[in-house]
Amino acid sequence: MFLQVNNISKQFEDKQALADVSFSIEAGKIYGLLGPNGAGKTTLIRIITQIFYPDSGTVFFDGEPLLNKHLNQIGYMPEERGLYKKMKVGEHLQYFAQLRNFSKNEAKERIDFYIKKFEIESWLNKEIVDLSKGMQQKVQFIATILHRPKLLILDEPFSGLDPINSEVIKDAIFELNNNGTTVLFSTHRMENVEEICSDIILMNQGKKILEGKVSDIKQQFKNNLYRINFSKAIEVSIFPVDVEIQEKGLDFIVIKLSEHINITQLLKKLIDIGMPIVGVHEILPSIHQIFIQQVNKIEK
Amino acid sequence: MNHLKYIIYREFTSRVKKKSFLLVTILVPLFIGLLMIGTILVAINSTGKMTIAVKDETKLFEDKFRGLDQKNITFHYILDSKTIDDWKQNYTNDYNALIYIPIIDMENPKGITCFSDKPLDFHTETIITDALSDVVRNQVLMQKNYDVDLIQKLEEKIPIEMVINNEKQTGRNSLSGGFGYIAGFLIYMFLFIYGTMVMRGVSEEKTTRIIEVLATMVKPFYLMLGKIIGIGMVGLFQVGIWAVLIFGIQTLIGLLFAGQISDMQNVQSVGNYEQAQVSVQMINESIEALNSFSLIRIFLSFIFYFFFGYVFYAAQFAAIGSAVTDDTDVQSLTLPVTIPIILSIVLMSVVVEQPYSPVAFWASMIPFSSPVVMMARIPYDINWWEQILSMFILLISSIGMVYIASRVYRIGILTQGKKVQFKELWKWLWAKY
Repeated sequence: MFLQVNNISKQFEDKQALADVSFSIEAGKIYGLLGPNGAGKTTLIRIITQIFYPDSGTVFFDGEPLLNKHLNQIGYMPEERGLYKKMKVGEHLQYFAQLRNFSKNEAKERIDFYIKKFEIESWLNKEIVDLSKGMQQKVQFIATILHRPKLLILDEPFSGLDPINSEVIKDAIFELNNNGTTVLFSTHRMENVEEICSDIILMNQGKKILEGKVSDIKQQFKNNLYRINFSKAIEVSIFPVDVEIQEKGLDFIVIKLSEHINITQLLKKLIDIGMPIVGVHEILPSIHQIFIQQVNKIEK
Repeated sequence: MNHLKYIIYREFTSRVKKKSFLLVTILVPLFIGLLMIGTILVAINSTGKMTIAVKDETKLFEDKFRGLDQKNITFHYILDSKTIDDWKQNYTNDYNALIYIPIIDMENPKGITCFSDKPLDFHTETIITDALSDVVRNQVLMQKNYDVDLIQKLEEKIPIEMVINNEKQTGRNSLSGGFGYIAGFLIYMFLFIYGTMVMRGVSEEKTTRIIEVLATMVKPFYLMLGKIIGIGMVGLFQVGIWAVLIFGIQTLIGLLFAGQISDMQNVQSVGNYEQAQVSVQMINESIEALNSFSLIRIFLSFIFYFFFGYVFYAAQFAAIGSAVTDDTDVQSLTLPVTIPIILSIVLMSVVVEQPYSPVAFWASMIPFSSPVVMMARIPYDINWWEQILSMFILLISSIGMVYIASRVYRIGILTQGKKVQFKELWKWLWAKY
């Protein structure tokens, strides 16, 4: 495992921020770290980035206990723009590169590469304060990946971005991931999770409540829902009692199957009575639905 | 540790490159220069020539007024037979003022009048009243058969020659006091100016959330230390430029207005030859004293106390800056930090009067007041061991204060949206994060 979090607990005064959290992250994948506000995501990220120390538990990075030397292999981009407003873009990137232990020449080489890639050459001498939110996010993103980290932690990277800039950042994340970077992606926006992440870790009230592949989790929480399309209008009365009608249109129907019948049996029955079926597909729950369902379940 | 130099460099360059820094650094000495030139010009223009007529019915004041002429004031002693009423009608044709001395009882001298169309300036009035008092006093003494010369001699101050550690001291006390006061006051001002700068810098990094990124690259302790050292260097750089520019401007003004300044000094010194001699002697002694001060000791001490006094207080300001979430918290949290600085300046005014007192000793040992108070004592040539002990305590305390502040800073800087009170700061100090 590339990152192994073992039984991490952290208490702040009266609040238990993390309670015995364990999970593991495989190298080269994109993970979504999900959870409502106060779930403990930021505390967890701060423990991985060594801003905080856990009260108990251990973190292993690439097989070794997490140490200071690993910080140079981690890139973290917080939701809020962490930029010096009065600094010029070039100076800012140079400063961050120096803090990442690059020599002046190495820093220049990397900065040149990324400013060309993100097409921001003309902004190099502009102050951060003069840039739009999208532009600032691009600068922030470059500052985060300048040192080509093995683990990239992104907190709401698309927040406040227009669709074009979102795509630019998204493509960059995929490219980094294709080149071997593991990504831990903290977000509330579930549409991004489904699109980007292969795996998720769901947290609530300082605890991990769910972990696994997106497809497996969807299967785990599926409700036996199917949509069947017909070539002409149909009558509801033709369906057997084991089937619960969820939604009905002129030429389609959404049904929930009981445990006494499966989709093959149902389709056979429908075909036998001559129903003109043109399409069938299973409706899996979205990550958003699973998220809401799980969080509500715990809070109840 | 390697990061520290980059942080210091950024803190330093980001401030000295600002237009506002350049403006303040250049404009302050220029402003002082203009103020000096303005003062000289006002002084020159305000001392226009005056001619004053003296109508003396007693004939006792003639010698005094004839020897009283100054560069800008001329006294004309009238010997004609015209009455005072005639003179009162016409004196404005030739004179700015008319002094009338009737026949008076020397033991109860009333009735002396000065006529003029506008009030006399303070300097001229003092010259006249001093002269009148002098003559009246001598006349009374003579009437009573006293030896006027002897009494005058007895009235002179008895000079005491100061010998400290077998070394003759010259005219140091007043000059030392002044010098010490200025040095202490400058440090007091700089503690506030640059300490506040650190606080604002820290607070800005917190509110813009850049600290969340920086803290993943550098330990918060180095971030805080880098900021303190960087801004401290800005302070030294700025003070250095001010010192050079003010010295340069002063020298330039001295050269440009040499004639006028010399005239002003003549005008202001009393026209009495003996007194002029005393003034010259005092100036010489002051220059001699200034040389004997060991200027290098004062200069190096100033750098030390400025820098480490600043570090001691800037660390506290940094801790406060990390705790505040909005400007309304600033005042309540900074009060306990600013009180010792203000107390130092109060103590300093006592210490300048009594630089060897126990209060002076302890105030120059305690690190909260030593940067200001010790700086005010050094021109008095205090014992070396006292200064070394004070410097050692300040150095150790500064390091200790940076450590304590960093414990608060590391937590405060990442705490958002919470109104912080001293209770929290105390908890953070001991918290394990």
